[in-house]
Amino acid sequence: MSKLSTFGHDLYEGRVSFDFVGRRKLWYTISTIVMVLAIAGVFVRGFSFGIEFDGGVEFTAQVETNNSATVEAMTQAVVDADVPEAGDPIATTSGDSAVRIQTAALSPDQAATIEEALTKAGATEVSQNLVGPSWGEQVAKKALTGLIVFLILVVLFIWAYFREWRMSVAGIVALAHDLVITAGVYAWSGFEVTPATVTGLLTILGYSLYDTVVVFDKVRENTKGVLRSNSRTYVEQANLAVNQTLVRSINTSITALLPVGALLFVGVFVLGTGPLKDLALALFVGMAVGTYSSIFVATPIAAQLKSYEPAVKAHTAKVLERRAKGPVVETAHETRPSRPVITSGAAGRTQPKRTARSKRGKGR
Amino acid sequence: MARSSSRTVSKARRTLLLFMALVVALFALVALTGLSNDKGESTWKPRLGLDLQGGTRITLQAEATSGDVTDEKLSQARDIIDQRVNATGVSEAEVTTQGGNQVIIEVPGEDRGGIVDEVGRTAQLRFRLLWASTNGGGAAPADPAATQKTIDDADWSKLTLDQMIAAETQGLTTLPANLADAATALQAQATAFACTPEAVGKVADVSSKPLVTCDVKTGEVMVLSPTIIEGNQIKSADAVIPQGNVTWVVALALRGDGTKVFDKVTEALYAQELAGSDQTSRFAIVLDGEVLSAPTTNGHFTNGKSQISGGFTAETSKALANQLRYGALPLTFEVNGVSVEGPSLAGSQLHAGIIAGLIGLVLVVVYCLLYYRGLGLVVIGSLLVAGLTTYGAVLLLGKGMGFTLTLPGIAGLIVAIGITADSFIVLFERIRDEVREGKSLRLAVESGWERARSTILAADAVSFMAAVILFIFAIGVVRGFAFALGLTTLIDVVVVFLFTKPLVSLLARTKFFGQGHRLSGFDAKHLGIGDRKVTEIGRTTGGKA
Repeated sequence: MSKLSTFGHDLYEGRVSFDFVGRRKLWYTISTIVMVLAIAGVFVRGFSFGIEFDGGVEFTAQVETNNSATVEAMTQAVVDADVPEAGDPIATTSGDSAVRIQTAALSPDQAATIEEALTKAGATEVSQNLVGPSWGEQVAKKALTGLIVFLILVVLFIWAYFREWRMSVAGIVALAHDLVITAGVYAWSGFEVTPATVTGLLTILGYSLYDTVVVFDKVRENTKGVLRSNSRTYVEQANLAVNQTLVRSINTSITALLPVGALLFVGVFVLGTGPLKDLALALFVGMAVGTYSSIFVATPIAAQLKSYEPAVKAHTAKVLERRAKGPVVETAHETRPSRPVITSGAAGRTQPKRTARSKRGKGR
Repeated sequence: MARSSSRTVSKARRTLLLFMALVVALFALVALTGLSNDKGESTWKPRLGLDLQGGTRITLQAEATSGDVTDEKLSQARDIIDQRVNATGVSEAEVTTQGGNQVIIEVPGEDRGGIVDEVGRTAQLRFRLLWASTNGGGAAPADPAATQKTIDDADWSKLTLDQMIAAETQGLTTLPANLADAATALQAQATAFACTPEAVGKVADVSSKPLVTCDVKTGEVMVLSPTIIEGNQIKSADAVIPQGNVTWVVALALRGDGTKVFDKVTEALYAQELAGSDQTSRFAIVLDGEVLSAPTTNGHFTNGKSQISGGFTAETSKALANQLRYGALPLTFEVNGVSVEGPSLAGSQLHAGIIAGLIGLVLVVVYCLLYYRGLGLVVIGSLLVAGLTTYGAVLLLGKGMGFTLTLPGIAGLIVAIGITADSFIVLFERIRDEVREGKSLRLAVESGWERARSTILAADAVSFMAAVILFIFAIGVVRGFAFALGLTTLIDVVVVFLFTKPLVSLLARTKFFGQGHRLSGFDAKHLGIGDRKVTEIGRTTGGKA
């Protein structure tokens, strides 16, 4: 552990540095390949939608002993209930004391008939979830509207907070990246897509952006005044920001994934199926991808876009030129910290600007 | 320096006291609402959603064909359905509107799936004239589809009320010539009509068209006129025993146009009754194609007030009064979803949610202790405080706003553990960054906080925004998830500002943390700042390797 923490210090000082921004082509390539695979998955395999999207009835029968014989008995009970509308029931075990049976869309009366049949077949308690055919469509429609509203607000928020449209663009690209890849994971793995999955997906948006904002905040701090100094380029400062927040990103991802992992574990092994599993799965995949994208996608894009700006371009050229001319300066710079160094030492550097002002203000 | 540091300390102490006062106030408020609560619910337990305590949830959706779905119509429908549900004897049920076109009925407790039948009668109630009646069950017309087509194709819209009355009092032959074929078709259909509940269920009840249906209680098949009075013209309907009487009747009062039409109709029909022709003095009250009642007219009612009598018991008269009163919904609904959660499934879901939460919490705590050592204790303390505040808020919102904790809600709270812990991580990392930059720990806490503050606020704003949007656009129980997420994000901000930061400020002054003890999470080796002690200010700011 202590190795990891000094690793944090090395990252901070720039002694250990991963070139996240500079090797962006590599990350872009990786992300593009993964996204293409994901999109291909969506088109080739499609999603396996839960009954919420097609309409249907899901019965959950509590049983004393849960084995294939019980499942068989329950299935037979549904077939024998003489409700032809039920179609071919699909029965699976769910957790250690429940059998899940899915049928086609039924009327409440027909559902009641089947419920009765299941009780007769030995179920101690029958729960049912009857879903009309328009339900899922509605969920999807609402989710789509929510998505669009969210994206618009995100663009506005980032722009208002960072005063930088490039960061808005980068944030949106990162969001799209996360969504596409999560969708791809669902398509390829064949996990069931339910309204809970859609909720999870929308939550990922918030989380992914949350992560991006934290990194961007550091980028903004590091690049403040970068154009006035000749020691570092914008891209270098942005990259340093990613490195400096790397420990936080790792820690955050772990602390966020741990509870979601617990949720997923309980959802799968205790409850079997249901909204808990669907939600946790979408969150788990999306959060992992979200952390990746804020480091490997969002910041490189923001830095790249910014580096096209004439002022930044000129500045970068100047810094590089200066560096090429003066090797002495360069060696000094290699070990320099993130911010421009003022030689007067100690706390005099940037402190008066940030700390003391507010304190003095309050004191008087 | 000394003065500023003592000010920091006293400010931190004051903030902590303020926070504690807030938490105490929150729980005092919960206790207070608990006192005024007479439903026998426990004050200190959150209200659980149906998926955690078991119950039935019915989603009714307004059909697009029932005209413009306005908020007004929907809330009117909600009220009517609410009354119907209560009329069935289920008092703890909750009826709410959702998503601009849905009405949700939630009934906690035992399986009440059958309630769909009682409240799901979302049909339209209509008054029609009884043109003819038969026993039905005869031979079907040669071509039933063609018969139906003849009826459907006929133009009934031009028919006046007088013509409709004439068709009853003087026979169907008085109908205009262009409707003669349709009238014959109607009679043919009536002859063939088998009076079973299934057949009645299949009857297409269209307001502007005549109808062939039956009264399942008596088996009488009837040919009915197009609607003369819509159900929404009913002002009131009550089961009463009139003075000086011993039998139950349903007292009916109409409003507006309904009164005028009823005036005219009863004038004509009462004349028939007086003339001794009971059969041609009848009209029918039809609910979704089913004849509720087909009384004879024994009076001329000019003010819209009348009584329906005839062998009612207390129960049947009440049932009819309810159907009359609540029968007419401003919208037609279809059952869009019914979910019945048995109590033991619900119990295991609650159990699983709590287990997941505990596992998640323990994992996060262990990780924070391993990585942040002493500071991990701050994380634990903050998470516990956040948890306590959240619990209080859930209790208060449950009493005040009817917020119920559902399984997705618990999931939201669990997910929030990570997001809350992240705020602490951002703060700690910033403080450590400041120490690495050469500040003493005490200074680093303050300057690190100033930087972390804006990051935490921005990030939480995003998270909150996402939760609000999710809440607005989510359907059904997943709203609980969004609500929990938004609530904990707010609490996160409060806890970080009023608890964690002041606590760290104070701890930075203790020997254990302030001197950078090996296990404090602030030790020099851990931070990688070499030989410098965390109490010292770095001599060359970062310039050294």
